[in-house]
Amino acid sequence: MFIALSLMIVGIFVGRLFRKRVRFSLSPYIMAVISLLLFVLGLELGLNDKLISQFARLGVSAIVISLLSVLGSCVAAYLFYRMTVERREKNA
Amino acid sequence: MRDILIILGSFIVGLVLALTGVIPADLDISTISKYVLYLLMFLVGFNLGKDEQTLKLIKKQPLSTLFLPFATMIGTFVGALAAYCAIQVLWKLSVTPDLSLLDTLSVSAGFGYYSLSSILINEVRGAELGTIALASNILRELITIAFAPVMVKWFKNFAPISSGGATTADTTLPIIQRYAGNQYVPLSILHGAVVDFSVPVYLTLFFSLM
Repeated sequence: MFIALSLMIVGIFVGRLFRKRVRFSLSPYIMAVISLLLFVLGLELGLNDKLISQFARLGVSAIVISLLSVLGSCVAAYLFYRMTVERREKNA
Repeated sequence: MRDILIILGSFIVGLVLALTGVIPADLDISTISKYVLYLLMFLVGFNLGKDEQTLKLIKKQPLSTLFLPFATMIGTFVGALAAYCAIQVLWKLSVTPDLSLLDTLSVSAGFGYYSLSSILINEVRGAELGTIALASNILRELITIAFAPVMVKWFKNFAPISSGGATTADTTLPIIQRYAGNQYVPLSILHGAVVDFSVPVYLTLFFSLM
């Protein structure tokens, strides 16, 4: 995590340095690397024999817990956004 | 929509290649994913440094947004409570194993940090719940990356950060940067760090209540 954050800070300085020269968008490159990360995540999951062999029996509970946790977080984040950023915008 | 398909597609291709045995089983995945992550973090930084508006927008943010990690925790546990009710019904239909409320809360308290939470739960609660924690928290990361654009559309800019949980300082950061905006990168890193540290704290708490 420390190395990852340090690399990001190096990236910020390099980005500032080349601000004038890099006029194109980096988005397609970032999407490509994100896809690579997901590809590796798929590999990691697929090579985990224990997880794969038990997924039929345990997978449903895992899916239910992650879906509802994500939904709960999204609703909380929405209310929080309204309480902080949108309130500020209204008063400004 | 195209992004969602690309992301889910890459994941599925990886999964299928591993399942069909095309990929050697002794491949050192964790080292590979570490370097991919390093590359991503550099690109996130580069994108931040390139954008002249970022600093101005960060300064305009209300300080109260720093409490976002607590919204994430409350939302996650309310969701886990709902999941517990759903699993009780599914258990009666013998679709899932019987999970107690504290088991369900422990799985959700991984906040996407699947390596740590599954190891801890595996040690204290056994292999079955450990496997559920691993799958559930990998899924949380996957759902966040694939559906971040939909989340921003329906639940505004903080939704992918809350959904990303403990992963928002690293693996889900680039997707948050893309859909929530450059100005929320610092908040996302802080959020990731706070939620990260809370994982062992919540797990210890839930284990002690069992």
